[in-house]
Amino acid sequence: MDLVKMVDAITSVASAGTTEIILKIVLLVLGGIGSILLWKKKAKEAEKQTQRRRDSAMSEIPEENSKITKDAQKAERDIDDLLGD
Amino acid sequence: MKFFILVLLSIITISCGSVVDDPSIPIVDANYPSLEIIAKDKVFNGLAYFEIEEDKKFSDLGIAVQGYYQGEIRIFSEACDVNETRVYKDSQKINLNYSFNVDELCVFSVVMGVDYPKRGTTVTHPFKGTFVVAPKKATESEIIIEKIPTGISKKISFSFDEDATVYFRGCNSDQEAFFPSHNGKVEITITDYIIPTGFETCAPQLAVIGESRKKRVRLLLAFHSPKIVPLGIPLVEFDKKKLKITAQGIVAVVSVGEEYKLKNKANLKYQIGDIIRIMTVKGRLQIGIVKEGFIEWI
Repeated sequence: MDLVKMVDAITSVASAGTTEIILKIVLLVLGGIGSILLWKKKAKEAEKQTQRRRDSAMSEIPEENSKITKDAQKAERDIDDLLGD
Repeated sequence: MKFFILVLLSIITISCGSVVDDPSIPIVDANYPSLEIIAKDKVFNGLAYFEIEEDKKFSDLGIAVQGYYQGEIRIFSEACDVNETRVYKDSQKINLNYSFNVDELCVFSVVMGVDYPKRGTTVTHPFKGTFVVAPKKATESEIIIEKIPTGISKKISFSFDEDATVYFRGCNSDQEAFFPSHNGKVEITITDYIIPTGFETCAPQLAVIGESRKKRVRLLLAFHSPKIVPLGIPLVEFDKKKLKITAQGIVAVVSVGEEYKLKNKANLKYQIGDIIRIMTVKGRLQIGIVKEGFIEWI
């Protein structure tokens, strides 16, 4: 929808004459640059969030692993006793 | 003029394209294991359990994790004293060639972060998996691996041809119950006996004792959020040399063997025995093996 509005705004400028053509080109270039800059800003933020998610998942595993290990090893010992292994 | 402007803006948008997002919650937030674990000729998705003989080294199991594109992987095991982070590239298989013997049960936790090409403005999430390596014991044993949505009743069954007393140990359980055997199998609603405290992975065990025989059942259970569902199986058509794969629109990557496409549809060369994968940026993953005229999904 934003794209259509932007195009409408640009094309609503008078359609004849050199000044108008130059104005259209300038608007077009500015619009393009603006879009790219906005996209780059969003991409940078996405990169940061991706790294944050990864670091967080990686930092959580020692505690989680310790909990699973202790419980599993106790279960193993109890079952060893029951089966005489 | 209007047309040319639209074309130009479309070109800008396309050139700044991003890998497709998945509306699901991330697998790491849901405790939904999802990671390609390979052991010699077997492949597992997120959870795996291995028994090892006393005189064998860990490396004899041939365990590896399949990397996608490039990224970073952390492998951690408190009991086996493993704590390493590796960088990988070129969708390589990451071999875990540890040369130690496994004297006691070890749990391995693995997190893999993938750097997708053209990630763009999409936030991507890591894959995560757990596997257990335990010394083989004298009593016969069976391994059962399950991903269970919390709050959902789940049945398991194992081969045992006598009525038996089953002892449940681990994962908040310390009880026993008697079960009949039907057609050489004992069936148990495991969620009646093992109740998780939340979204957690645990490795409880059962001692199954009949009149004349006994058995150990090793379990690896991931209790996950019911909000996450397995990724839908894609449509796969066999051509002479290629597989035509059509997955849901939320699928970011389709892959067969060593070829990866950042799309949800692709025609990829195949050989019998190749691994086929589809994955999303939230870490949901489906893995299958290409067989003669069909796919064996894991």
